[in-house]
Amino acid sequence: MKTYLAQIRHINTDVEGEVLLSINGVDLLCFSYFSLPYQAKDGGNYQVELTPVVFNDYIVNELSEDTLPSVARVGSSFSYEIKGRLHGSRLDAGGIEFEDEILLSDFSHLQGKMISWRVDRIDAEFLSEDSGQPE
Amino acid sequence: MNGYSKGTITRTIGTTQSIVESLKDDISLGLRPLGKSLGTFFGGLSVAGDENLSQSIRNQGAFDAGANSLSVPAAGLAVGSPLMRFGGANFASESKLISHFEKHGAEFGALSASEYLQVGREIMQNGQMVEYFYKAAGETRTGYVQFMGNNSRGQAKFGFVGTNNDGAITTIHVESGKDIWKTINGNAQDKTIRPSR
Repeated sequence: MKTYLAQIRHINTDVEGEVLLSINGVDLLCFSYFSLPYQAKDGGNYQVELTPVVFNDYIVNELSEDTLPSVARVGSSFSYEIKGRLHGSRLDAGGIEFEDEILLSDFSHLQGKMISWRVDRIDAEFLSEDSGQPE
Repeated sequence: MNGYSKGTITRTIGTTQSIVESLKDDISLGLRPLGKSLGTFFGGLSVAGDENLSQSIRNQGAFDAGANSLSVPAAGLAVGSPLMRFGGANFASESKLISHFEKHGAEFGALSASEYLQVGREIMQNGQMVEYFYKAAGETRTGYVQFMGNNSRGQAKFGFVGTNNDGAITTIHVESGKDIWKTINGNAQDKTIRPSR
C-alpha cells in the first residue's frame, strides 16, 4: 500500500477520528480512529496510508476518456466519489492512488479506463509521529 | 465536470443486511414478522423516553416505536426488559449525536439520528464489552463490538461503540475486519476479543 506525506488541516474535536488532510494538494476528509497520535495538531505533517472502504455495494461507472481525475466528497458523510484511471488494483486519481484488490478481481474489464468509484469512507492510518517537514 | 457515464456497473459483493435489520432479527427470538419490528420498537421506546434528548429526536423515537403493533401490556414489559439496560446511553451532547450521525449513519443504513442512536445502544446491549487504548486521547476506554457479517474478501465488519470515562458515547461506527483488531488490541495480528464483562 502506497504511503503519503499528509498535512493535518483540521482535527474535528466533535467527531472522534475525523481529520481533514491535505495530500499532494488535495483536501481529504478522512477517518482515523485508532492511529491518530495523541500529539497530533493542525499543521502537523505525518506519513499516512489511505484505505478506501466500501461496506456494501461496489458502485463503479465507466467514464469518457476526457474526464479529469478528481476526488469529490458526497454530501456531509465520509463518502467520496473518486474519478481516475484504473491500473490493476489501483485507481489513479491524479496525485493520489486508491488501492483495493476488488478493483482488480471484479472489474478487470475496466483496466486502463477512466472510471468513477463510490467509497463509503477513506480511512487514514498514521504511520509516524509529526515529521516536521513541510508538505 | 466534463465526464459522463457510459454505463453503470453496480455489483453487489458480499452484501449483508444492514446492522439495523440484523439487530432487529437478533432480538426477535425467531419470530421474524414481529421481530422485524421489535428492534425499532425497543430502540424507539428508549429514545422516546430519554429526557436528555431534544423533543424532535424523541418524537422520531416515538414514531419508530409507534410504527409497531405491540399491545400496551407488551410495551410495559418492554420498559422493564434487560434490553433497556443501555437505554439511557448517549453522546455528551445532542450536537455530537447529530454530527456523528451525519458522518457515520449511512454505514449502518440509519435514516435518522434516533435510529443511529438505537443501533449504538443495541451494540452496547448485544455486543462484547472490551477495554481499549484510545491513542488520540491517551486513555484506556470501554468499547462495545458486534459482528455484522463478512464481505466478499472474507473480512468481517463490526459495529463499534466507544465510550469515555464519563460513560458517554463518543463514537458509533463500522470497523473493517482489518482495523477492528488495531482499534481494540493495537495490533492487526492479535485477532482476539477479550470481553471485559
